[in-house]
Amino acid sequence: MEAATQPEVKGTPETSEVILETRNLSKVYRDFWGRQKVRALKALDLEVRKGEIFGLLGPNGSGKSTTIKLLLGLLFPTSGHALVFGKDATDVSNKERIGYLPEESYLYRFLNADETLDFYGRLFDMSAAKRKERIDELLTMVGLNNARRRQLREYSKGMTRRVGLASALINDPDLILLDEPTTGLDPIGTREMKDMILRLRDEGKTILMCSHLLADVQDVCDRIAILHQGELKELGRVDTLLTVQDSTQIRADGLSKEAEEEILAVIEKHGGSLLSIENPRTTLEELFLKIVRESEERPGRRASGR
Amino acid sequence: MTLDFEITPFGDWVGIALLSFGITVLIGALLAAFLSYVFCAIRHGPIEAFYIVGQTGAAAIPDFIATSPRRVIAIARLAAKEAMRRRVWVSLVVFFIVLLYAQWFLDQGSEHPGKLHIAFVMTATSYLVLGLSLFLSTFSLPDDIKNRTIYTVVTKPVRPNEIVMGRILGFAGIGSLLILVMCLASLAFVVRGLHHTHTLSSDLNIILQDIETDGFWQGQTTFDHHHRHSIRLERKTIDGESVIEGQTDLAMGHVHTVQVTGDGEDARVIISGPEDQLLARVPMFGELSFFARDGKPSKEGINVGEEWGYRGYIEGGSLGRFEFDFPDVKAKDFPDGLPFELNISVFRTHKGTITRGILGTISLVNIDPNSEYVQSSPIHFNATEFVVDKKFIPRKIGARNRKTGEIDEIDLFDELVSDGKLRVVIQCSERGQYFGAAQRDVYLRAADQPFWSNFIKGFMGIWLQMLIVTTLGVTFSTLLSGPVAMMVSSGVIVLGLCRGFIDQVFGGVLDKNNVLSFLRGIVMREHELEGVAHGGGPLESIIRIPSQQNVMIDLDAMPWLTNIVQFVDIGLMAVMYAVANGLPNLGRLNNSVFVAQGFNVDNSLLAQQCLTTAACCSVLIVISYFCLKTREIAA
Ligand SMILES: Nc1ncnc2c1ncn2[C@@H]1O[C@H](COP(=O)(O)OP(=O)(O)OP(=O)(O)O)[C@@H](O)[C@H]1O
Ligand SMILES: [Mg+2]
Repeated sequence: MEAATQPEVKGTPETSEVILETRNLSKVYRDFWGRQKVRALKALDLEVRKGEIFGLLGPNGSGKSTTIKLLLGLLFPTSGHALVFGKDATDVSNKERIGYLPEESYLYRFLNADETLDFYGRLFDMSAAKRKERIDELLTMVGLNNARRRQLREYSKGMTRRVGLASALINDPDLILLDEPTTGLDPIGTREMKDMILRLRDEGKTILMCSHLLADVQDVCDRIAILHQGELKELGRVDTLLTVQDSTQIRADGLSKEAEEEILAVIEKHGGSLLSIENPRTTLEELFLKIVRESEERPGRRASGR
Repeated sequence: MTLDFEITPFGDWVGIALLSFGITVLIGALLAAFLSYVFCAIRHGPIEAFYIVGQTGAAAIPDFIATSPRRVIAIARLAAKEAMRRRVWVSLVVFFIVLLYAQWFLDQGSEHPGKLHIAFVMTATSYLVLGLSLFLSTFSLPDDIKNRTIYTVVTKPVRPNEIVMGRILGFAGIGSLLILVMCLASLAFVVRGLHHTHTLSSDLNIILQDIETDGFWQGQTTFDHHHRHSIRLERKTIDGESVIEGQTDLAMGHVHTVQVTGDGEDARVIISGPEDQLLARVPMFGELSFFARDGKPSKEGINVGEEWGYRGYIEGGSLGRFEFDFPDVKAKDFPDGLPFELNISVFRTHKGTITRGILGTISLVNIDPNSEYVQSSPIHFNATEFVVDKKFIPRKIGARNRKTGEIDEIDLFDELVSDGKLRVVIQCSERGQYFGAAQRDVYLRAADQPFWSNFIKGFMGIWLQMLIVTTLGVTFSTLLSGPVAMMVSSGVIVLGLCRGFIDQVFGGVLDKNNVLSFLRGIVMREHELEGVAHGGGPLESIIRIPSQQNVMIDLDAMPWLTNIVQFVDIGLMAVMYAVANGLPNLGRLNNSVFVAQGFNVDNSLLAQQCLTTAACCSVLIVISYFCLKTREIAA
């Protein structure tokens, strides 16, 4: 439980293997006649390395789901490339190692939880014994053991979400793509989801998620990218991004006002006992709002990855 | 009453069929590759397009090799569950209701109730099953895409061919189940619906008395089920026991056997159910040649200027004759003799006694002219029209010895059949009358097959049609939305069923165009007999119908308009021709004619049908693989 509030900063992922890579990735949705409808994604360059939790943020319609679909081969890029495990995103062999939780629960409502997981297990060509073991394990994990024989059409939103999550993990994937994983979940479910994401990361899995719950993203993600109208606006480590670089914060105690000024001078001279000197931290929410506002004022500005 | 098309033996057929299939597939593949290259080149440039097309084509091979039965079955099970959720069993309920009330609208006084019943159940089954398969197969994938449930499937290591094959398997499984249930219910319906007996119209005591005094009793049965029979009962000795027995005449396509058992007070009449009605005759055909009145071979007999050109005629009281060469007559197939069935048609130049039939002769001839016995003595028969004449020729028959000139009694298998080959010569004995026959009008009837097995073979035809319809539906649904896929596939199926007609219209349209008329020969090659259709193609017909123009005269319109119309029609008809001929002939998969007319469905034909269906489905699966593979699922 502690892990959720104090994200453990892992060692430098820059050195580990690249799992996901997009190069100049663009997507234009066209209608039946080939006319352009929306430019959903514009020249996106991203790299996600093994063992990272990567967050994709952005307002509604900014191209987050589009990016994920491109990475899954559900969409074909208009230009640029999407590479997963070093291979083209449409390659079937990638799918053995991917788990995907779509933004809504697209499940067969006439199956029950057991049948659903069994179906997806079969799609991974898993043996009956392995499927059974895995299904028991996952249903217990998502807390649906009691409802496993009920048809999904009877499920509440959060319950379907949980089945969706279980089915995304049926193959014990190395890369997990979560599109708004916490929507519809109750506070306990949300917390469990965050714990689970961190646990998966600790197991060495790579996770790409998008979410609107910035506090959650701030809690779990190692790195984030902020998209606005299909353009990349900000990219970097969460702890770096949230550090306000152009201001400094000094904390000491037991000092009068005059003494403070004096001590500052004295620090320079004598190297006194300064308790803390740091940049203040902003919240992800503030950063997000600032970037979106700036971007709306000055469209086209590209953020440099920090 | 016989079958009017020939069945090539499987062995002769398969080589040519595979070759033409191979050529068609090759041409189709090259054309498809070229078209997709052009399409790709427009979007991605000529060099990139080359790689895209090559890679997509090459990727198909590992994808098909990696096909996992477990995944296919998982998808098939899902499809079957989906079908159950769509309440396919309702069609069974409809079917049973139709059967329950069928007696109301089936013609009760029909001369051939057997045929009527069989044709009815088979038609009902095929309409229901094919309609349902079309519906299931065309809506499934588009719904899956629309609901986006497919996202969770294609993001698993599932190949497009597995998605397609799984669906086909699932729906075909449901379809097979429906057909099985309908087949069994139909069999019960036909057998039970036709079952009936009669009682004798006279009192049993009177009958017995008549037999005592005259040795026989002649009378009628009661009028039941819209008909009655006449019957002659005689005292016979069977296996050393004396019984009173007789068989009724043929009415409504069947007879009954009547037996009287017991004596005096205990005497009982037993009348069997209908016999000779539900048959699966196994005909053995010979090769027919015609000989004119002067005894010289002629190509197709005399044209008596009537009917359809299918039968050829010979003149009575002359040297004119039919010769049927049977290739494989074996004593083990016909241990007691040769049971011929003849469906000779008669053309009368004068009326004679119309009920009597025309006399003819059958002689069995040894094809080896140097053998001891060259031909049997002529055996007389009476050609009655519209009924199959049965003529049983016993094994021991008379024949003239070539050396001694005596007529001896010989075994026909020993003396007349050489190497399994036997020639049967049929002549008409009455001057001024004509006999007509086609190859399939005279046959030897080998041991019958059980009716139920033939009935099942008939339903096999529906099953094969169902497979093709399902595969076709799934193929179109990889490209189109549900309703559109449904409309297009039904259109294609109708085109496939009207193949002959389309060929004729295309032939007619090409006739008008001098430049392309050479194509006519190619189009019409199989339909030479049927000729071309007049009145032009669809557009021309649209003009002709409201302006009420005769189809035999040229279109009456401005010359430029006529040219445009005919030019467009050529294009339209070419497309229809290609579509109709690109599909296996669905009509040819209909075996109900055989079952209804009481002929065994030839195994060779069934094998051809199975292979054709398999080939067609495989091609469709490959096509739908590429459609699905190149489709942007989430767009
Ligand atoms: N199938 C589609 N056809 C046409 N346009 C689409 C399609 N899917 C998405 N779009 C458009 O592409 C843009 C990006 O959509 P996308 O779903 O990627 O947004 P998102 O960032 O996931 O938004 P949200 O936070 O609401 O989920 C939007 O303008 C959307 O209207
Ligand atoms: Mg989204």
